[in-house]
Amino acid sequence: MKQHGIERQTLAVAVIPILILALLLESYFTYTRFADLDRALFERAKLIVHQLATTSEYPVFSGNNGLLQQQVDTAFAQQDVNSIIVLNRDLKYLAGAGGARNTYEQVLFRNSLSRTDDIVTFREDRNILWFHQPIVATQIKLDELGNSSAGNRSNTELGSVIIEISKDRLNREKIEMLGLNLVMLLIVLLTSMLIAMRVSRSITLPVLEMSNAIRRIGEGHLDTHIAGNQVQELDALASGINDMAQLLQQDRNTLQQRIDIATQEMRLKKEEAERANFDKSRFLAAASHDLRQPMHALGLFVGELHSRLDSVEQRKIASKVEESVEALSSLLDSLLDISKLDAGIVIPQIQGFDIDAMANRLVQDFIPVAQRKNISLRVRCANTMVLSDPVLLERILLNLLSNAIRYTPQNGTVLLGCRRCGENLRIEVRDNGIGIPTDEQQNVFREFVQLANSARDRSKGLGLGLAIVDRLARLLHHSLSLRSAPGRGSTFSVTVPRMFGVEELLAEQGNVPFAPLPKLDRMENLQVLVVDDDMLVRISTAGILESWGCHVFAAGDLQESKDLCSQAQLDMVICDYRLPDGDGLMLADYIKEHYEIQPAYILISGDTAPEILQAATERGLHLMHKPVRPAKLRSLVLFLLKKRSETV
Amino acid sequence: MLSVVFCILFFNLSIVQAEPLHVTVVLSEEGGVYQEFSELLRVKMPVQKFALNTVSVNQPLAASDLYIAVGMKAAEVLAPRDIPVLNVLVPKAGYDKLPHAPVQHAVPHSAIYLDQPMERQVAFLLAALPSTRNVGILYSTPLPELPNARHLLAEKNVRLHEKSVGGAQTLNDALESILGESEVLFVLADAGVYNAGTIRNILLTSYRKQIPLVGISQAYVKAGALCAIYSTPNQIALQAVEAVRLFSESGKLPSSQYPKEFEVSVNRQVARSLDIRIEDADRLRDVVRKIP
Repeated sequence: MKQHGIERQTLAVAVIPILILALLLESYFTYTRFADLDRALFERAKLIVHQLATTSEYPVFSGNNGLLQQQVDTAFAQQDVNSIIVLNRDLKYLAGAGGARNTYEQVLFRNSLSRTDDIVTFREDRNILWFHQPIVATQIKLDELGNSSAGNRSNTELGSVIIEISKDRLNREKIEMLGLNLVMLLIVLLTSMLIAMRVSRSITLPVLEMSNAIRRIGEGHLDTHIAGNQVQELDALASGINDMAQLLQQDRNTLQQRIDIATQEMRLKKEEAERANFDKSRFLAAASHDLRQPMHALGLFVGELHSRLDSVEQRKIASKVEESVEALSSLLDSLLDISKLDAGIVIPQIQGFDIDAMANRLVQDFIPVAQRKNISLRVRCANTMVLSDPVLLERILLNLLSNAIRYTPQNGTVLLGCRRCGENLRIEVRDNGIGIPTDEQQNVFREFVQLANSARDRSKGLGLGLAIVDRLARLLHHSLSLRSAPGRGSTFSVTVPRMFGVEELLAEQGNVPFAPLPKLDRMENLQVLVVDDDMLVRISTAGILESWGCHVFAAGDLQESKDLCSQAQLDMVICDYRLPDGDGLMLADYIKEHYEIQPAYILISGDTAPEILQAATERGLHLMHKPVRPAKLRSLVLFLLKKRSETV
Repeated sequence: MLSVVFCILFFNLSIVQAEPLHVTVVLSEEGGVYQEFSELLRVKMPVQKFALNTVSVNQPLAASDLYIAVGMKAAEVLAPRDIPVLNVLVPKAGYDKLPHAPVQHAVPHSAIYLDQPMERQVAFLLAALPSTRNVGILYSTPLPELPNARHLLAEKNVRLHEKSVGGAQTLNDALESILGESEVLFVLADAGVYNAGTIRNILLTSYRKQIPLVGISQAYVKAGALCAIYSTPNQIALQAVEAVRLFSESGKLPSSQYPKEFEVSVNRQVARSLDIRIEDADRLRDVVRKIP
C-alpha cells in the first residue's frame, strides 16, 4: 500500500472539499452571471430594435427616408450594434447602417422563423445576435361600429427592421469574468493550502521530533526529553514518551547495578576458580616431582639389588619387588598423566620429526617384555617425517604397544606399522590377541575399563592406558580408530599428518638397522656423571649404572658437576633438571662449551612442564621423566652411546 | 247580459295586453360599445312592458316578439330571417348592402343608422371651418353618399377633391396628393381608408401639412382630429326605445332613419397647434341643429 504523510493527507482533506465547493460556487455564479449578461444584452438589443421599429413607423409610412436614416443612425450609435437594415414590406431596402451584409440573414429570418406581429424574433451564433422586428402601424382604436368587414386590415405591416448585435464585448466580459473567477479560485485554493500546511506542520514537526527522540532513546540516550506541545494529544504523547524514557532510565540503572553486583561476584568466583586451578596445577607439579623422586630412586635401587644378588631365591624375591615397583611406577605415571590432561595444563609442541626412529626405539624398549611372553614384536617403517608432538605421540604409541603386548597371549604377534595414507600417515598397532566385542569398543577408551580383568589384577595395568591415548589423540587432533572382533585380535590406528620436503634428507641418512645390543657389552668402563641434588636418587642411579659396569661420578649441585667435568673425560652425563644452584640446562651449556667431544647427555626431570621439554629439544638433549625405569634408562644409554660412537 | 259579456271580453283583452313585449337584443360582440348599448336599453325600457333578453350573435335565438340587432354582424345574421328586426349601430351604407329578401317583409325590418346624414355633416363642416373652400375626401371604394356631398358642397361654393386609395396608389401617395390641394380632410366612413392602423399616420401626415381633419366620431377627436359630429349610444338607445314602444303599440316599426340627436366634439389642442379659430362644441351643435 502506498503511504502518505500526515501533511499530504491533511492537505487533501482541507483542499479537496474547498476545491469542490469553490468549483461548484464558481460554476454556479459564473453561469448565472453569464446568463445575466446574455439576458441584459438580449433585452437591450430587443429594446433597440423595438424602439427603432416604433420610430421607423412614420418615416416608413410617409416614405421619408431621410428621417428614417436619422432614426437608424441614432440606433446604430448605440453600443454593440454592428449593423442595421430597414426594409419596406416588399423587402426593399429603405435605410441601413454598418454595411448591408445581413441581407442574407433577413431572408433567413423571413423564411425560417415563424413570426407573429410585433414580436421580435432573433437568431444567434457565437459572435452575432440578429433581431428582426416588423414595423407595424400603431393601433389607435376608432369606433369599430360598422367596421366589421374592414377590421382585419388594421395591423398592416409597413416593413421590418433587422439589427445585427455583436457579442464581442459580451464575450470579452465573459472571458474577463472567467479569468477573475479563476484567479479568485486560485487564491482561495492557495490560502486553504497554506492554512492546511501550517496546521499539518504543527502536527508533523512534533511527530518528527518525537520519532527522532524515540530513535535516540532506542540508541540508548535515555536522558532524551521532548518539549511540550500545544496540541493536546501530541502533548500527551510527548509526556508519555518522556515518562517511558524516565522509566527506562530507572530500569537501566537498576539493571546496571545488578550487573555490577553479578560481575563482582563472578570476578570473585573466577579468581577463586583461578586460584583453585593454580593450586591444582601446583599440586600436580609438586606431586609429580615429589612422588617421582622416591619412586625413581626405588626403581633404581631395586634394579641394582637384583643385579647384585647371588642366590636364586633372593633374585626371585627381588624380581617380585621389581615388578611391584614397576607396577607402582606405571600406576603413578598414568594417574598423573590423566590428571594433567584433565587439568588442561598439557600444551602440545607440534614439530616435524622422524617417526621411524621413534618406532624403532619403542619396539626396542618393548622387546624384553615381549620376549617374556615369546611374542613376536615387529615394526614396519614408512620412511617419512610427521608433524606432531613427539613426546605425546610417543606416549600414545607406548600405551598402545603396552596394551597390545598385555592382551596378546603367549607366542602371539604384535606389529607396529606405519603406512602412508595420502597426506597423512597411519600408525597401526596390531595384535592377534583376544579382540574386543563391537559393543565394548567405545567403552575401552573410558577410565578404569579392563575387558579381561574382572579380578582387577594390577599386573594387567590400571585401565587408564587407552583413556590417556584417547585424550592425547584429541589434544593433538589425531584421529583414533579401532578395528576389532573377539578372538581375532585388535588394530588401533592413529592418523598423523606427514611433513613434506625432508624425505630426501632421510633417504641420505639411510635406515639404521636397530639390532638388539648384546647385554653389558659396551657399557664397560663408561665414564658417567650423575648429577642430582637428591642423595637417594644420586646413589640409586649411580648404583644401577655401576651394576651395568659403568664408572660413575656423582655430583649434588652445578658447581660440583663443573668441577668433575674438568677433571674427567666423560662419555655420558645424566643430570637432574632441578639443581640447588642452577639447572640441568646450564650444565649442558657449560659442557658444550668445554668439551670437544661432546658426551651423551640425558636430562631427567620430575617436572612435566612443557617449557623444560621445549628447552631440552632446542638443545638436542634427551629428556626423561621420573620415575625412570632401569630398562628404559639402559635402552636410552645404549642408543645414545651408539649414536655418539657413530658421530665420533 | 251583453254588458257582462263585454266586460269579460274587455278584461280578457286587458289581461292579454298587460303581458310584456318580449324583446331579444342580439349583440355583434359581447362587451364594448354593444354591451354598453344593451345596458342603456335595459335602463330605458320599462320592465312592466318589455321583457328584455340579451344574447350574443353566436347564441341560438329564443322566440321573441322583436329582435334588436346591435352592430353590423348581428344585422347580417338576422337580415335573412323573417322576424321583426330593429337594426341599430349600423352605417347606412352597410345596412343598404344587406340582402333583404323578400324585399317586402311580412314582418317589419327597420334601422337607426350610426352615421349622420350628409346634409348635417356638410353643415357641421362649414360651421366649424366657415372659410374653407377646398375639401379633400379619400375613399377606397366609391361611396353612395359621395354625389350628395359633392352637390351639397357645390351649393356652398366649396370645391371637393376626391382621391381613391388602392391599386398602385398607396395610402401615403393619395394622402400626399389630396393634402396638397385641400384645406381640410373630410372623413367619410370608409374602413378601407380610416382604420386603427392607418389613422395615426394619416393624422401625422395631415398635421405635418398643417391640414385639419374632420372626423365622424369622438375617437377621431381623441386621436387628433380637429372636430367631429356623431351620435352617442345613449342618444341612439333613446331613439330605439321610441321605436320599440311604437312597435309594441302598433306592431309596426318606424322606417329606417338617421339618428335624431347628435353630439359635436372639438379638440382645442389641435386647433391651437394648427392655429385655427373654431367655435366651441355646444355652439357648433346648436348651429347645426338649426339647419333643417
